[in-house]
Amino acid sequence: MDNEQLRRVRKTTRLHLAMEAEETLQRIEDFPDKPAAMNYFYSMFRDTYIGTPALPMAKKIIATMCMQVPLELILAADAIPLRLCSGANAYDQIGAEFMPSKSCPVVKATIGMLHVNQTLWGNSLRSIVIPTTCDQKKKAIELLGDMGYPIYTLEMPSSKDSDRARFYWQEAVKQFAIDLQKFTGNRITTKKVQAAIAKIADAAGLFRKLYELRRSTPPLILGTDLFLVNNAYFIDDIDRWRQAVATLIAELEERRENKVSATNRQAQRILFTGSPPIFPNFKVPILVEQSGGIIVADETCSSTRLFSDSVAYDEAGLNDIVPAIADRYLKPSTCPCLTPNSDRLRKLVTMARETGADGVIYQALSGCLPYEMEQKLVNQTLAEKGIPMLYIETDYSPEDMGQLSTRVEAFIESLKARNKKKIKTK
Amino acid sequence: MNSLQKAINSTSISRFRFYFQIAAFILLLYGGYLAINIGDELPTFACVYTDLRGGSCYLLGFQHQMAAPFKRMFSGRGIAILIGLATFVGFFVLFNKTWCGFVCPIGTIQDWITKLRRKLGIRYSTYSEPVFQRLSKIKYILLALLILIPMAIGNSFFGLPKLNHDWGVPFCMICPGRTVLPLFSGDFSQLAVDFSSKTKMIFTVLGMAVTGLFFAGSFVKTRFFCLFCPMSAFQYIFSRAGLIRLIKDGEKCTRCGNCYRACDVGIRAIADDVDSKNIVKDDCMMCFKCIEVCPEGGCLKAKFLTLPLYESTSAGFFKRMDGKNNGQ
Amino acid sequence: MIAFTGNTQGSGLRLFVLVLLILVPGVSTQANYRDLVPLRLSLAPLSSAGAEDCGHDPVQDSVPATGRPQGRPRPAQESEHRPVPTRTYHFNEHRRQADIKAYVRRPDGSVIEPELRLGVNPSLSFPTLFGDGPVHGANNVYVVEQGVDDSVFVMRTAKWITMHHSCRWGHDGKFDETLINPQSLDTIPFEIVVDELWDTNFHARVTSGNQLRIRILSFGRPVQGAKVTLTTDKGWSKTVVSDKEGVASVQLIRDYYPPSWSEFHRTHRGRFLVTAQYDADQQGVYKGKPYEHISYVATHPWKYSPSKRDYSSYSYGLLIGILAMTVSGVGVYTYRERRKRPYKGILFDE
Repeated sequence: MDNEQLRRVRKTTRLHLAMEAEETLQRIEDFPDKPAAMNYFYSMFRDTYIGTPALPMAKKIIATMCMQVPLELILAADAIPLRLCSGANAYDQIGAEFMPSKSCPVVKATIGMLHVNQTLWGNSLRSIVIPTTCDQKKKAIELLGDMGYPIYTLEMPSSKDSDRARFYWQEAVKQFAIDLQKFTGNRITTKKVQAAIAKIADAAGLFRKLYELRRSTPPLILGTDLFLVNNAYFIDDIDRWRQAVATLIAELEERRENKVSATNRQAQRILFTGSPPIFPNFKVPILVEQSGGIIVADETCSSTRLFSDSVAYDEAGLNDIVPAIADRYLKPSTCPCLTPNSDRLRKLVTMARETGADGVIYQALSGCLPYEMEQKLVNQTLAEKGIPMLYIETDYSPEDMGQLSTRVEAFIESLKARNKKKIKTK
Repeated sequence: MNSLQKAINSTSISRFRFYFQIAAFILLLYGGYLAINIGDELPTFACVYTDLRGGSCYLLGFQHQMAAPFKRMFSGRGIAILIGLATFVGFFVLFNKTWCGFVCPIGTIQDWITKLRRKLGIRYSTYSEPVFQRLSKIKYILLALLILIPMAIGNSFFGLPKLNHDWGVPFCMICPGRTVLPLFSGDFSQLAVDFSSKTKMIFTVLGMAVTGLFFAGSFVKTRFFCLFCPMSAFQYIFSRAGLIRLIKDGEKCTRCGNCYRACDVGIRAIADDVDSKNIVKDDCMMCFKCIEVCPEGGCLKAKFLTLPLYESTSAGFFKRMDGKNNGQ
Repeated sequence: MIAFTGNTQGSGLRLFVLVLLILVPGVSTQANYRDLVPLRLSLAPLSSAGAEDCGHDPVQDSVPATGRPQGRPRPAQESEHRPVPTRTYHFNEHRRQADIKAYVRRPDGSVIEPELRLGVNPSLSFPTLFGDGPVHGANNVYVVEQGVDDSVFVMRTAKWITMHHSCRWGHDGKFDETLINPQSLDTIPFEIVVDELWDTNFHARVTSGNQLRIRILSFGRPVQGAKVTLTTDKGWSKTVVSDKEGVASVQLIRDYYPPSWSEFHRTHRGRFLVTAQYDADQQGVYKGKPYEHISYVATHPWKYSPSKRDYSSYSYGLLIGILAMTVSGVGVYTYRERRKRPYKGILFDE
């Protein structure tokens, strides 16, 4: 594409993106009784997606794809982490040029975005770090490299149980720490890493409080709102994010005191899992909550998984801390790109039990083979524990909304009936 | 969970353990100056070779008792052996393996050496898992030897000649407690090699070699000796009956491995085993560092019977890690 | 008076003289009081003329009266930590016309009088109960013989210390000063106390090379100017005089030289005997007999072992310890340095 064409495409895409974002935000705001603290997030997303996109005002950006990249190290190198995973249908269309039609829309959209916005980054983008997790990401490394971006391959094993795999990942992360220093020109010292860990631990702590509040009966906040909050972590400055979330938590606690709930008692509690819903593709979560369900917990890498584990180290020194950081990203990981993924099955069951979920909705984006392939095992495990599951395969386009809403509504009705029967038999 | 429990779960048990260890060290090594004797069948290395000690290690008496001929052992003398064993088991069961983590003077010394290494900024060494598993068997071999060798003094095995009395306390001769603990009372006599008989010579040479190895090993590896300790093997036989318990709720475990990283001895099973409830393995010294670093509330618990003592909570985890990250 | 010089006299002659001594009352020791041998307590019967002059081993307890040819001279041993219910000790002789009294000072300070059997083989015995109690510890056995001979009041005392202890009864005694240190009895007219004979676990701990601190007491008060002689079983002896505080100091020699190292036993117990002698110019009457001087003689046997320095070596011990530490330290260091290089792969061994 020559420059003129590229500029035209960029303009139309941005318009489409703005429309998508606005539509999603409207749908989210349509729900009644929003906490006031959510306004920060709504306006932040509006500012980012509608109007001229402004990059974070920072000198050094280390962009990432996938949550497996250790953010603590990026912060310790005085750089800003920016997660690039895109949820925009507009970019998805662009990306179709580079990837097969039925392939992961997240990666496709990201590639589309990077292709269209190529000249915007300037010198501040020091590197795009992509771990070798799923196939799509692995090939994206080559495609993006071909486009001219400074790609860094972070080698991650496909298995996490053996000592070999653990060692492999620790070496990769250690090398990453050294290379980061080269990209950013800043040294990583123990004190800096400790400060970074403290920041991220603070964020994780806030998230846990949110998780606890989310579990309450009746629910205090909608799942879609929380997806938005956690998604904001991708792009927002971490200190501002923490402050905003703290405000939100305070408001939710107040709500709990005053017994204000986000929805009525009939709402079925849903555990949402599967391919990550990334703004503005909140199609399925919004659908669920419009159909009388409420998402009380989720197991996705764009939301809960970002915060569910924390780094703990024993001795203060880079030789213990950096492997500890590596361990935190690999050992408890429930990403389906790893095998065996029995931890995810256990986690889903525990989470369903802890949050009192009535049913599980499993979203797989078409072309996302890892999640698609794992759904059978998850279904089996949940069925053994007596937890009903709905499997949805969808993509970014809004065309299948009608069919999806029928299925989701039917599922939620069946959950209602099941609950009524349970109460009757009690 | 009431507020007192919450407060306790937010403290750092490692700090408490540090001070407790000092107190136990002083009691066991110097208690005799105040005529204190807490028992002679203690499940910890309160070395009998330190003169004015506050209690005695069970293994010395036990080895002496094993040297009785079988005829005497299975007669009235055997009752004394059983009483000694019962007292030992009684002491042990009361506090389970916290004897190792909170009381044992050799453990305390190793922890001090580790502190020194950390101050010097020297990184640690660990064993890889297969090596760890293999080395872990050594303590059972030592336990078997410390029972069989004294038996060979009082009895003739397979027609072989009986061993002479210089073989009397084989484990005490190689134990680092014998050489190191009397030093704290100014007694250097155990450092000498005894040439008066071949047996004594070999044993005292072995003892000094083990002492040298002990210092080098504990410098780079936390709690180096505990992996080889026959007292630990002996105790583990009765550990299931222990009143203090370390319990894991496998469902809450995310297998993040923080507990494995914090474990001084290096037990992988704490992190990987999500099925067992009682998570005390044979090397565990119940220092409860694993509970300190577990971010999942209620996943690891230390209990005395049913009374909760110390439990992992996410609030406690974040508070402690915060302190660590701020350089405490 | 027939004097025996050696120990190889025929048994028959001995027997005859013994009979003479016994059957003829008042014959035996009516000569100069200086000819009297010191009174000695022992485990086995002694021949009465055993300790006349040097050259003869004074502690050859096991020489039987029948004069059987003996093998290697081995003194009878009292097992240190194997208690027995009754204790019996023999003493070499007594004068027919003197008063004999025996006492046992128990560890708790109480005094009992043991059962005394006079005659050919004079002995005494007393019970020692098992367990931790008043008898647990060092029991001092005394025989006091006093009588006037030739206007000299001769007082002979013999002392024996027996350690009544079993490790099973506990070592709580280590906190008691009176049990750790050898004690004296104030009713004994002439007594030898040797300090630091056993350690806090009641094991005898005198070794070659020790400087023995010997105190001479009379009724509990120190005696100055007493002649103190220490004689070892090999025959070496040394004489010193007690000072103002009644203290005399002798250093034990090293005299255990087995022909080869494999015959060296660190538990070898040699015996020594401390004899004290004191003359006092005092006049008086004792049981109707007047006297012009008093002569005191006392004995105190004990045992000694080879010094630890003879068979143990600090330098070797520390050398081995430091060697082990350095070798393992260097080994670990090298291993850690080598691991810094790239990952060591799997090698196939064909």
